[in-house]
Amino acid sequence: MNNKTTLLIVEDDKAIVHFISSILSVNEYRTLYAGTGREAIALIASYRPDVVLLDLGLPDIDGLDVLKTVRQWSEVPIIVVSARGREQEKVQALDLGADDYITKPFGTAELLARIRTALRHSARPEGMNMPTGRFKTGELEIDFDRRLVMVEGRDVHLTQIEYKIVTLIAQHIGRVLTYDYIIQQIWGVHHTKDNQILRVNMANIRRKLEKNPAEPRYILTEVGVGYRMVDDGN
Amino acid sequence: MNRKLKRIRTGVVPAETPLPEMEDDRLWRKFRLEWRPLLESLGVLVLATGAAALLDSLFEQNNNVSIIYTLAVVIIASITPGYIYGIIASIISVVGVNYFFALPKFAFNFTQTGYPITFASLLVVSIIMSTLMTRYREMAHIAQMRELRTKALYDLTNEFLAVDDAESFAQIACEHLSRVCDAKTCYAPEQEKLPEDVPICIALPVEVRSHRFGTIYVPQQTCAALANEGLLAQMKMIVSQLALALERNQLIQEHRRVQLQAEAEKMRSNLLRAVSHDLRTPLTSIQGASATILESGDQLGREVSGQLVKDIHENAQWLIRMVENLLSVTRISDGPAAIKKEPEVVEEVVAQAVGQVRKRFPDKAINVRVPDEMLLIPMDAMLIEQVLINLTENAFFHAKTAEAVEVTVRDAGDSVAFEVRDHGAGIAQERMGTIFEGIGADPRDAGGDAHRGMGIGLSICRAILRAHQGTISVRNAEDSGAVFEFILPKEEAGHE
Repeated sequence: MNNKTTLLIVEDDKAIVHFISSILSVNEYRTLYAGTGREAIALIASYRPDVVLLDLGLPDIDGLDVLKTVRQWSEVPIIVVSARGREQEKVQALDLGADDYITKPFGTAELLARIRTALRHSARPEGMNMPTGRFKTGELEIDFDRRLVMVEGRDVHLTQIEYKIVTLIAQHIGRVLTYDYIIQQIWGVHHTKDNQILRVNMANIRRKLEKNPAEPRYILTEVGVGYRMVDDGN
Repeated sequence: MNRKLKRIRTGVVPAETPLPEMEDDRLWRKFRLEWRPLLESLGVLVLATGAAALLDSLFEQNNNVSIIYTLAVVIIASITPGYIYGIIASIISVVGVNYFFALPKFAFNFTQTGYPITFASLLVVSIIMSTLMTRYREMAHIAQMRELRTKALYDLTNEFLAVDDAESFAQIACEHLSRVCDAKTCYAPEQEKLPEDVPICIALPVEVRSHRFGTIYVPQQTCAALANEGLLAQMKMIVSQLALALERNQLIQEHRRVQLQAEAEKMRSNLLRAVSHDLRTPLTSIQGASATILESGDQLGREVSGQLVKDIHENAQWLIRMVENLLSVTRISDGPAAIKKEPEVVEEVVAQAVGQVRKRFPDKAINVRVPDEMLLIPMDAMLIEQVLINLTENAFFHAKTAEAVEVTVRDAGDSVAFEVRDHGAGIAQERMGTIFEGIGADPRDAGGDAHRGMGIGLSICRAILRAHQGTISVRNAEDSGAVFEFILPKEEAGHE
């Protein structure tokens, strides 16, 4: 029974905790629950859960502070729960080391998909994510050794920068990468207000990879936050 | 209104003349001697003497001599400024006639009969001519100045019409003033002070009826020129025009603010009505359905309880949509200045909105088309997303057809047009006028629960577009279905 994956739900609303833990138990996860930030920190330290679902609005301390504290000594995947329209909060959480976020109100399918992604991600720490070999999601294929990107079997000609962006996002498949993070990784610039260059590059990539740029299948935009490569779940 | 006026430019076309020199009309200048007119006068006199000598040698009678000199005096008085040259010329003429032509020739004889009469008449002719000419020249000068001032005033008011913020008004007025006085003037609003080190000649208050908007500062190098009263009057005129423009602008801004406030107020009260009236229905349904399951879940049977749960789910979804619209209202209720616009990639916002709608209605069909080139326009992405979601979901609910809803984005030059069209029955003509007014759906139209609050959704769409200086409209397509179109400007408007 102890080899079940353990999830910590940090949320002060009992009804939400109840529905989340019900759906998680049905899907064979073990759940823990913390109603306050302090309790959450204590539980993470003692139980070492596999994934933490952290609501940012807590009664005692700010969810972002919980995130900061935990990140000092733990690399546990943390999924932040935030409301629509609070994009700045999401960006902050991601920059503070949250692995992902989910927007309230969310459906169960979405929640389970995020948890799976977070778990897969923790099984493959970033250091091992060497860009070698091949990568495939849906009809999108990247051959890191030959520096080739293919969609439905045909070559896509990307510029140097575009290739770098696509591989960066592919390496973090399923996760949102903030504009700042991508700019810092690709151009080496820190904390720039101007992310236009990234958006222009992204619009070009979209036109090369996607059939319809308004209905992307591979790289989704989380407006105001960043970009995410769709994890097809395999 | 201003935008229209911008295109209708009026103006007076002035005579193609250079700006006349500022003439000082003080008396002593009328008697001042200058070299050029003096030489001209002498030239005319020499010519007259030559002509008189010629006539004198040809004819015995020399009556014509004084006529020729009179003519010379008239010419001199009319081509030279002031009186002095005419008077000098008449004296010289009298002396000349006496010396050269009156007997004895080449000698003075002041005792000749009729001499004082010749002298006096020449003098009077010269003075009358000079006076007439001087007056005529002054009149012409004044008329020309007036014309130029009127033209300047027209230009000023025309330029004022093209802008509508205080800063531009002040800038235009300063440009005009600087042109008039040939030095850089500047405007400081009432609360601001000029830096100490700027040398200032005069400060002109910009005020309308004791309300002071600010001050125009004229730099020191103009001081000398300002001795001219005409210049000062002209500057004061520009300043008073500025004051009037600023007052007008203030009134317009005030009017706009009041209008927006009234609209926000209206939307809020509509919303409140919708909340109190419409929220109760789904909540009652949720409460009833869940209570039924709680109390007698065992007896209900799988199918019935499944249906009840489905009702709860649908009603909850409706409530979520309502709350999201409410969230949008809180974002815009403080007026357009309160929304934070960032340049956003249009296709990204459209994709996110369509993604949201797809998530909620996985079995409905949507076709999306965006232009090939990337469009980056200023907007509050969350609000525009809300508009797209509202319009698309409305199309689902009201079209009652399996045909896909089409979301199309077009580049329309200086704006971007978003179109959401369905292939349903279209909208009844009598509803067209009030569809954005926030009035709930027509009771005859209310087929299902999901209809509730459609009016609110559309009135929120309109408020969001207004806050973006955009527009929203609805029409029925030629073949079938309703077309909602909203337009967002590419550039942020200068004011607000």
